[in-house]
Amino acid sequence: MKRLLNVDHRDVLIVGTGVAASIMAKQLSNYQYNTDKKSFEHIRNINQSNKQNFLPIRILLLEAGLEAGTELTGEKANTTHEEYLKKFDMEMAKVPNSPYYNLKAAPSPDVLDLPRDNDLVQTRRSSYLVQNGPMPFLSDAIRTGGGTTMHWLGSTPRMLPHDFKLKSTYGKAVDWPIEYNDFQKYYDFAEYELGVAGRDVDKNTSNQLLKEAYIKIENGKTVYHQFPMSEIPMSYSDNEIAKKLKRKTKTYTMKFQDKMVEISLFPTPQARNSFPNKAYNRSFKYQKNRDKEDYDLICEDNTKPYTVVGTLWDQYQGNRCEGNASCVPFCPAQAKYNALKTLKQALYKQDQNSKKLVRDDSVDIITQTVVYRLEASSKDGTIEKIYVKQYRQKEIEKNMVLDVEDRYINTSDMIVILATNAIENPKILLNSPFQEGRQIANASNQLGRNLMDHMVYLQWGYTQQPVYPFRGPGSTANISAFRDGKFRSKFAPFFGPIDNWGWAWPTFAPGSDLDNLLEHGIVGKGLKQLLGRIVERQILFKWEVEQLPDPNNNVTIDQKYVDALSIPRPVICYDISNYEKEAIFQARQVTKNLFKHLKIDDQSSYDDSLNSFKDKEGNVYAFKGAGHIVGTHRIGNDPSDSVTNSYCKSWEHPNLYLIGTGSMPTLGTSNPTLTMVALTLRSTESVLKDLTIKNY
Amino acid sequence: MRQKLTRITNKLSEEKLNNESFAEPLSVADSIQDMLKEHEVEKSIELKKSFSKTIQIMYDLIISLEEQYQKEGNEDKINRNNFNKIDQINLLWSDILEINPALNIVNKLNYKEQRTLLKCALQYALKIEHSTIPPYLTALYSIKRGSNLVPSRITRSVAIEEMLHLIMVCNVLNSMDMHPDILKEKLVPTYPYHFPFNSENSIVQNEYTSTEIQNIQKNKIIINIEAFSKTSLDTFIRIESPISSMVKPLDQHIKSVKEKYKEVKQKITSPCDNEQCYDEIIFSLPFEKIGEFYEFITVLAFITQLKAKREEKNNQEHMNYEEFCQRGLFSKPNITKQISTEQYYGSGGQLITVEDFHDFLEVILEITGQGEGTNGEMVAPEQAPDQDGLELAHYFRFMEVRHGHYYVGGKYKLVRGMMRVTTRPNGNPLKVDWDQVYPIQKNFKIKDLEKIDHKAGLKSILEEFNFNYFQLINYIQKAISTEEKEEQNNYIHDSIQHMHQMHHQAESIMKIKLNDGKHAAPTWEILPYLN
Repeated sequence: MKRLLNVDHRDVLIVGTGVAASIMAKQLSNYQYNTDKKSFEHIRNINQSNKQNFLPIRILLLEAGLEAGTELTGEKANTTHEEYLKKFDMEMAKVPNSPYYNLKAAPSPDVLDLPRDNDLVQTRRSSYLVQNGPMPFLSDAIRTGGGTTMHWLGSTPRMLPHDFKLKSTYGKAVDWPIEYNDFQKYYDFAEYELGVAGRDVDKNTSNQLLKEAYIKIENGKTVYHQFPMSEIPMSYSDNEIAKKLKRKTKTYTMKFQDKMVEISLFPTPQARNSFPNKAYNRSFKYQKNRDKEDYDLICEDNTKPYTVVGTLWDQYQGNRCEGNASCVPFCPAQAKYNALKTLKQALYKQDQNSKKLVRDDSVDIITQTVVYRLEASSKDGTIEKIYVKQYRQKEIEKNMVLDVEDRYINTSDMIVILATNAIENPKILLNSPFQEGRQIANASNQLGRNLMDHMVYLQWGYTQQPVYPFRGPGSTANISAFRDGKFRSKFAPFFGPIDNWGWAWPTFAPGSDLDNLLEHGIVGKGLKQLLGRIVERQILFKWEVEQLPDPNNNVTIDQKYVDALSIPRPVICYDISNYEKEAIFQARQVTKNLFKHLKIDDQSSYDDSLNSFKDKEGNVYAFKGAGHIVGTHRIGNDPSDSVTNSYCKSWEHPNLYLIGTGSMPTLGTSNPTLTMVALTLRSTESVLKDLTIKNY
Repeated sequence: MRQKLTRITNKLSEEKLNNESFAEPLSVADSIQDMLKEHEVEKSIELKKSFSKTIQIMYDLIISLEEQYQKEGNEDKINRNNFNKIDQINLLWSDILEINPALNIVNKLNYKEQRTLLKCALQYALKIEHSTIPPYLTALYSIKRGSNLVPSRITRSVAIEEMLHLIMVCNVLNSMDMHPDILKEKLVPTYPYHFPFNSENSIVQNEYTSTEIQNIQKNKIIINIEAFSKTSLDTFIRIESPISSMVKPLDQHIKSVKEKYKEVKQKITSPCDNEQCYDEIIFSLPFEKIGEFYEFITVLAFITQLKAKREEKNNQEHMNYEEFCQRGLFSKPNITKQISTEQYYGSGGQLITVEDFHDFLEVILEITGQGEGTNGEMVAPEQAPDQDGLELAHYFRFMEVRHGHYYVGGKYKLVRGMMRVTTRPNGNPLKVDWDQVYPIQKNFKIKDLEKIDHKAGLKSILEEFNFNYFQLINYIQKAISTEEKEEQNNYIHDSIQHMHQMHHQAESIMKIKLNDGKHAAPTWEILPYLN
């Protein structure tokens, strides 16, 4: 017997507390409905005298993870942080999920659950993802307050204009339903919300791709680009490489596809606190168009300098990156952005008089609540109910026992926003039967399809001079030369962020080096010195290769495989095509040239495994997952081949939005979070419009 | 992760913070002693309603000058002669001298002498600020990681704000073209450090008799390098003791002194003359609290600035507040040598670059306000907009840790709406685990290693730590001495790197047990590295 979960009256229900959910909640919480003007206005414009004319948007967020994971203030938030830190310290393998708890009730995909002994079927028993092959899906995510931004690296490059026009420019995949030029302001806003540090893009910028992505033409005038904070200084190793790529004024060039290509390093924009940029003066707000229900994002000049967002428990801490090299999975300083920072801004507002933070009663979170099914009206498709399982964990003699209650929430009057990751969003919907034997939001039959990730191709070697890895944050610069070009009609582009973690990823260095030396009987001071000498020259290059959408790469469910709450687990079919493989062959050649120029002694080697493949000569190539889980409910202009419209609103269900990286029709070569946040900020316009039409 | 079983966040404590009244007056005194005390307190309230009586009087002086000027409807300049005719102002001036007898000496100095004295005083302030950093950091480092989260955060915030103060005093020195020298041998604190101030937090005397001075000296604070404990916190509380014995309880909002000053953009003339000078006097001046020392500095700077301006203006013209503030002492403010606001982060307050007398006043208010509260308020002058709860002055922050309660949510006895600063916080509980601390040897020194079984490597770790700390200060010294902004930034980055290393180093030192069950501790001996 399912019981009603009484949640009072809500206007918007958001599933998840990750970055998309938090951004959406924060934006909506910043607007109130003016009953006189019949439009939403930013709370900045509301004062004591006109207060009574305004109605807040009542928002409820549902989080599958533990309550402790959504503590947002004071000692509790600090305690959670310390507990994550402690767990990270204790774990043997420092993988992305190691500081966080893989909950029995809300399990997460974990890189440690990846196929062992090359047996996908074997893996299904222990892992959350049911891998159906032929290749394993190699990326993970975490289901906890703040979502996967808790362990992300924080890199926030933009997609490029051509990435939005893949079909019309290169005859591949699909075009985006949004013009790049129209999208730039959402990128600007996303950079503001995430707090991005980067090098300004102006007339002195040499990289043409960056100029196209960042510089805007507004009313015929060229507008250069500033980031909210100044760039994170490049790490020692990046500087050493940059020096070798540029001799005096001459930049190193390389022949690529019959063209000479300049190779240089550019600082990667990243959501990591640094010095506020004095030149940055933007603020953003949504404004209703006259005589229409539509809202537009407006960018205004702001005289107030950008304020750095510190830790949850002390706004003065975490104000600058301290150069800890453990960004993934955990920033001990909390200078790296995570979604809880935004979530806090949704739940707490500054009182205009006392300047104190006050809990905003119109926003609430219910944790330990797993959404597993939606129910829609057969008449107009309105989502009428969502079904949840609420659990409590009990530790009885070291065994975790779950106390579960099955409940539902009436959502006919609400806007339902699924804001989980690109595996969970389709998982919930595919478990929600609708008409004619198909599922909710799946008239196009594209739901759960087009799963994408970046193929990460690693190459490593010894430099001649020490480059001292692990100094500074995880990655501070990149090679952008191969992100776009005519070659994209033949093979995938690839992006080259340089890691600052030595060989940690491919060989588990320096741990493996230590083992090796110990095996050779080296101990004491000699061990310390030798280990130092080995590690200081380790360098890692990596190429992130764009994967095209392929309907056969998909998330499905199978009632055979369920989790502890009897909710179906995601079943993944995944493969890579020759388009991506060819790019990896090309990237190999690029690295060979680069290593030769940089005098790096190549030490890369790959095992024949499930995630490897061979070229004609029989050389083995292997790739890793980038953690960029993208593309299972893509936006589009045509209901027949997309799951939502360009505002992430379902084609069939008038009160359903699907936001998150799943919305992206193609992946490009950039880390997807920034683009996803920009898409979410664009969806907000549509949600405000729907709420206006509903008109209270 | 905690097995938190309730689903909805308990909002109680936060709501309390925001909505509940912080203090409820109780009219009944607990004992006869209390009643007597209160009687005495009441007498002194009128005089000490502001955080700083000298500055308050100075402020009154400026106001009455302005009033006098307006009353006479005189568009001519008020010069020194007609100023001297005003009895009321003479009276006020004698009030200042009476309260702070050190100023009698100042009064007799010429400009050059006053400037030298001011430099001595400011350099001395460097030592005072510096002397608090090692003990605060030692207490912080002695807390075992993961425990005492709130006490750690509080101690850390205060330590960082002391560094801010140190830097701001450097900025002031640079603004007056006086070379700040943190690493001057005489100015490097050694421990146990005999703090030159007392903190008998009762009634502030109006006059100092010789017996009283002796008394005060007898009670001077001794700062030890010791673990986080009730004892060390008692010392910290004494160090940060407010001048005034009464404060407004948290719920009463009053205008900050800073705002008051901004209102005073007024005309001003010169009140004093000079004769002779003793520049070493600064070290024997009888101050009760740090705040009084800063008051002295303020008045001294005020007088010196007046003198400079008078000479500049040829004893003739009157001047408005803006004019008074500019040039004079600040004719070469060395802005590039100063550390600027974006270079400071990590705790409350703001870093002020000093260009004129007004900026100087802001620095003093920031330092004294953060330490002991401003104008009889418990709250620090700059309240961060995004901060949870209220940012209390150091004294009150330490009081909260020491007594294991926040002020917020408590009930307090008030006298005419004011609360005695010695009142213990009794609001929401603040968890302190006094046992989760390394039991370190008090005032441990490298030479102590001779007395105990030599621990292999301990000496080198101690020296490493000391050198690291020396480098931290050394890079700050370099940063405040260079005119090149980029070089300065690099020096600051270098110094921060050394600061980050210190916590780890201190932790590894404090894990080492000595013979007597006590643990080793950083010794903070940086003198060997000078020059």
